[in-house]
Formats: sequence, structure tokens, C-alpha cells
Amino acid sequence: MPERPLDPSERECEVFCAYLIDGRPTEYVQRKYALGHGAIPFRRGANHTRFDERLVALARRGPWFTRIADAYARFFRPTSPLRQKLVLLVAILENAPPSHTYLNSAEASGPLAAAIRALVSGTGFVLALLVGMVLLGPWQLAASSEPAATGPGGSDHG
Amino acid sequence: MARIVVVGSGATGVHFALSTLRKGHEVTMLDVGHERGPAVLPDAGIDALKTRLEDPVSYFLGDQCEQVVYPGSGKYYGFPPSKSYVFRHPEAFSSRSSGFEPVFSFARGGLAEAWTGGVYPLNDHELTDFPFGYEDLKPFYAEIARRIGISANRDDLARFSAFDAGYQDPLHLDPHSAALLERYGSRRSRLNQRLGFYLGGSRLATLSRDLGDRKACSHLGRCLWGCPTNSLYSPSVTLRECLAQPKFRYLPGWFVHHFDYGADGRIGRILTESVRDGSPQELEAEVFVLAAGTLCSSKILLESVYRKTGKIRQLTGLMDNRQVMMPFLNLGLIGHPVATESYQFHQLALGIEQPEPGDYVHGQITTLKAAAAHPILQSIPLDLRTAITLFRGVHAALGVANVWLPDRRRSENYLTLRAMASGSRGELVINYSNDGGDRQLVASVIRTLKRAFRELGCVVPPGMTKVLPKGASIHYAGTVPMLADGGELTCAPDGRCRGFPNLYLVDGSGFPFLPAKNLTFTLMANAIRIAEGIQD
Repeated sequence: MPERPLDPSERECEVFCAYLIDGRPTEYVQRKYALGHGAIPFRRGANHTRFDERLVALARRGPWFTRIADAYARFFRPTSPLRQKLVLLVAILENAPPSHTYLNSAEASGPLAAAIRALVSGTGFVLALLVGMVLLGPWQLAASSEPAATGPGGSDHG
Repeated sequence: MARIVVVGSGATGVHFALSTLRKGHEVTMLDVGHERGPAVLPDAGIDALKTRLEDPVSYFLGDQCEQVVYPGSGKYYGFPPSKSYVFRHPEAFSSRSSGFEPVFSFARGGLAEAWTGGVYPLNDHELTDFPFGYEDLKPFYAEIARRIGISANRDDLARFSAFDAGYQDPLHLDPHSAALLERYGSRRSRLNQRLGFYLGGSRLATLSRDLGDRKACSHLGRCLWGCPTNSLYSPSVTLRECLAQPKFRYLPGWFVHHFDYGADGRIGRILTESVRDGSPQELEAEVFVLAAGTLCSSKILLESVYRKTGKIRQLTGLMDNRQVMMPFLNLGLIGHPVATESYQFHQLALGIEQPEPGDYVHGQITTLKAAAAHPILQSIPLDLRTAITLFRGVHAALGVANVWLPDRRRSENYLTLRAMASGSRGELVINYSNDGGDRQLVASVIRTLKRAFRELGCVVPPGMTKVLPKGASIHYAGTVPMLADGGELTCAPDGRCRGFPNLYLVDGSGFPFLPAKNLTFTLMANAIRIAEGIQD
């Protein structure tokens, strides 16, 4: 049977999972992620802008775009809908099998291996942040005064 | 034998009730009494629980993931849904506060249903302002230790807290706590002499061997979500003991708002309303006991005076320990495996000497095992993917020290009422405006801790130490203090409220000073000390 096409929420969850843990979400995680948007703060009309929506739209394009958007948002839009969505997904993944074993356990291969892994990942972060600052910084400046187009709910696939 | 009404089923209420029941008195306990749900898969460890539950996310985060801690929420952790019963309020209760972030509980068992089990007796220095000393409390500490079961080790902290209450053997230390204690052993004299810093095992109301129908801790790693084997003591354990007594009546579902008293101050009846439908009920008795916690007991007292006299009074001297929360990274444990299925709460305690012995600063060290990772990950100044990689490398090396400072009664910190529409109940008003200039002590404690952690091979990440607002430590006390010689709305040494000959306050409201040590052990011991004084 051919696979059914993913709806926008499922697609978003797939991309974000690939970004966070290099894995695919189970159907259970997909369902919980969609349900979790019922209580996510930005849906309650928190102050967010059109730029925040664009950040989410960019992040949905693929794991590399998610990383750029997330690295940028961590410093320049730390409470944005994108960060909230990613934190929601991390919280779900750490409590849902089988991803919980990855997030609850430690990389127990000694301090040197841990340092090398952190260095490699940290380099990726610095690159993502630099790209984000170059591409997204001006965009944020230009768009920050515009209100969100979709009202309090915002860009809320999921 | 007296007919006694006790308000509240928390740590003080249940021990007071059990002691008076054993003396033959007749006890009725009034309580809102939100109840804990049944234990889920009580034999499963934390990892197995996530695999075996049909819907683990609802168990850990709530049906709509409402317990997720989001960026910007100002929260450091979220209480899991299994603990939400502890913090639910009845509609009949309202409060407002300034300079204070209060936490209330209307649960069966009170706030100690969500405690972390630290139990330390006070010493004579800390009891200076109390109308009794350590020797007076000693037999009651021992009785509480027999009832609840305390695991402890005689170590360096015995110089601050006597070790003579009859304790069980200590719990097995998790690898990180054991490593810290070992390192302390090799640096002891420097830490003691240069910094006045002492480290030892936590004294815990958690069983290392079976006690009655409670089982010894089996290290399932589920402490944070509610111990499924009752190894960690909670007051609902003692409430069950009370329920087995023929002269005990437990009435949950009733919110007490005031009592009615005569011209001589003698209370005749207590007035309550049903939490379910608001219907009123009155109860008569010979002795009335407020054990609803400092804030709620004080509110009942204020409301009663207001109803009788039309006057809104202030109860001054509200106290709460200033709390400092300092995360740290143990460099020696980077890249080590993490023991998720182990005791989750603090296993180490620390003490910092002060020039005045009563000002002793006390703390507890919790190493990170199975606690939720998402609140930590979002606070790391990296993208989440990198934060996860880093976190997995250092998970076994992370811990947090929670340190408390003593507090003193000051007239600017008080409770009062705000009158609502005529005939309805008042709103509790909490004002905390004077911290006694504790900034200097806070800064000094932070400096000492950082130096001590360096000696222990740990680093404190910059910018992550938090000084929590007043109210956060949930150690409330001082509004109706026990004084040898006090005025109205203070308590006599026997716990009786001056001006009300048949009213006793047995919770923290009667404390004239708030030492840094966790106060629940002393609250329980003092409650049974007062119970011993109740006459027929």
C-alpha cells in the first residue's frame, strides 16, 4: 500500500524529530505532538510576530533549516513559537518509547569521546548561528513590527 | 476524654491526632483532602514504566502535555500530573500576595505529600528563641523517627544535628553522590577550616528497611512522580494509622473558614462548607486545633476574629527561608553512565558555619538521574540538538545544590485579610517586604559554595545560580509565635493561642524563628509535644 501523504503537523513533527534525535517519530509521538499544541503558550495569544511564523515555516523545510532557525531563535527569539514547539517535542520524546532511552541515558564512552562529540556538535551550532544571523537578522529587523497574520493562534500546525 | 477537632491532615495534623488518639481522646479531622491517585505499576522501574504504560506521555506530562516547562515560563521544573492533587485549591479559597510567592496545599497529607524527605533536628542554638530547648524536643524527635522511619548516617553533619533519634541505616548512595562524598573525604580539613563547609549524607524519611506495611526503598527511580511503595514517608501514611483507631473520624471534602467564640474567647463551634456544593456544616468540640499550615491556619484565625469583632487584624512575622539553587558539573563524571534507577532526591546534605551558630546555613545536594531533561536542555545557551549532545555527555556529572538561609520575624512581613462582599469570606493577603538585608549573606554563601564545589572537582556554570523569591522554599512560619511571655494572637509554650483558651496551633505558625534546616521534622515533633500536654 502506498504511504499516505503527511499532513502539515505530521511533516513538522518528522522534520523536528530528525533534527533533534536523527530519528522518525512514532505514530504515538505524532499524536501527542498534535495534542500538545492545545496547551502550548503561544496559542494563548502570547506576543509573537510575523517573523516568528516565518521562523517556523523555515524550520519546517528540513533538519538543517531547523537547526539554523533554532540556533538563531535561542538567542534572538528564545520564547518564540518555534522554541516552544521544539521544547514540546523534546518533552514528548523523553517520555515516549523508544526515544526515551536516548534522551534519558548518557553517552558513556569516556570524557574524551564526550568532549570530541561536544566539539563537533558545537562547531555545527556556531556555523548554524552565523548563517542564522546573516540570513535571519535583517529579516527579523524588517518584520518585527508586523503583527502575526494568523492572530493569537499563529502558525500552529500540529 | 476531650472531643478534639483538628483542621488539616498535613504532617502536624496527623501526628497530633495519632498522639491524642493514643491517649484516648476522640478526634475529628476536617480536611479538604484532595486525594492521591492509586500507584501505577508499582513494581516497574522508571525506564520500564515508560515502556509498559499505554500512554506514558499523559502520565508524565498530562493529557494535553500541560506540565511541559516552556521557555520564558520562569519555572525550573514542572510538577507531574501525579502530584497535581497536592496543589489544587478549592473555589472557596483566594489569596493575593506581594513580595511573596505562596504555595498552598489542600491535599490529604498536605504539602508534605510533595516533599523530598529531609529531616534534621534543630539544636539549642537554633531553638534559642523557642520557649523550649533540644532536650525538651528530644523524646518527640525519637517518637517521630519511630513512626516515619528515617535513614541516616553519623557523619560530619552530626556537629550541627544531634544523631540520637534511632535511625535506620542510610540508603545506598548513587554513584555521583558517592563520588562527591569520597572527594570531600580527601579535602575535609581544607573545606572545614577554610570555608566552614561540611558535607554528609542526607537524613531521609525514606526506608532502608521495611517498617510496618511500608517497604524499603527498592530504587525504582520514581520518587519524583510519587513513591509507589510508600518507602518515602508522607503524612497520608499516618492518616491511615489514625483511621484504624476507633475514636477517629476523618471528614474530607470540607473547607473550614472560621470558628465561633464567646466573650471569654472559648470556641464553641467551627464552621465549614462542603467543597462539592458549598453547603454549610458546624461542628462542636471541647478543643480546636489548627494544623492547616501557617498560611491557612492564620487565615482561619484572622477570619474568625473579623467575623466576631468586625476588625481586620494583621499577623506579623511571616517567615520563609531564602533559597539559593546552584547547579554544578562534576568534571570527573563527564562521559560516565547515569544510574536512572536509583533514589532521585538529595542524598547529600551540606552545612556552612556562620559566626552566630543559630545562623547556620543548610543545604541539600541532588544529583541528576531521571529528572525531566527538557527544562535543562532549553536553558543551555545552544541550539537544542547541540544541547542534547552535550547533555548526554555530561548527564551523569550534573547536580544541583539547594541551600536555605535562616529567617527572622519582622513586623513588615505579615498576613491580613481583605474583606470581600458583606457576608462572604475574606481574602488572604500576604505581604513580604523586608528580607532583613540578606543580600550580603546570600553573596557570601554563593561564594563559599563555588569555592567548595571547586575543591570537590566541580564547576558552577556561570549565570545559572538562582536566588529564589520568598515563598519558593515553602517553609512558612512565624505568624502566631510561641513565646514564653507574649501578647494576644501569640501562642503559649504549650501551643495554646493566647485569648482563646481551647485553641491550639500546632503547625509552623507557632515558630518564633526559622532556622535554615528543613523544618518538617521539628513541626512533627512539636505537634506531638503539644499533644502530650492536652488534658482530659
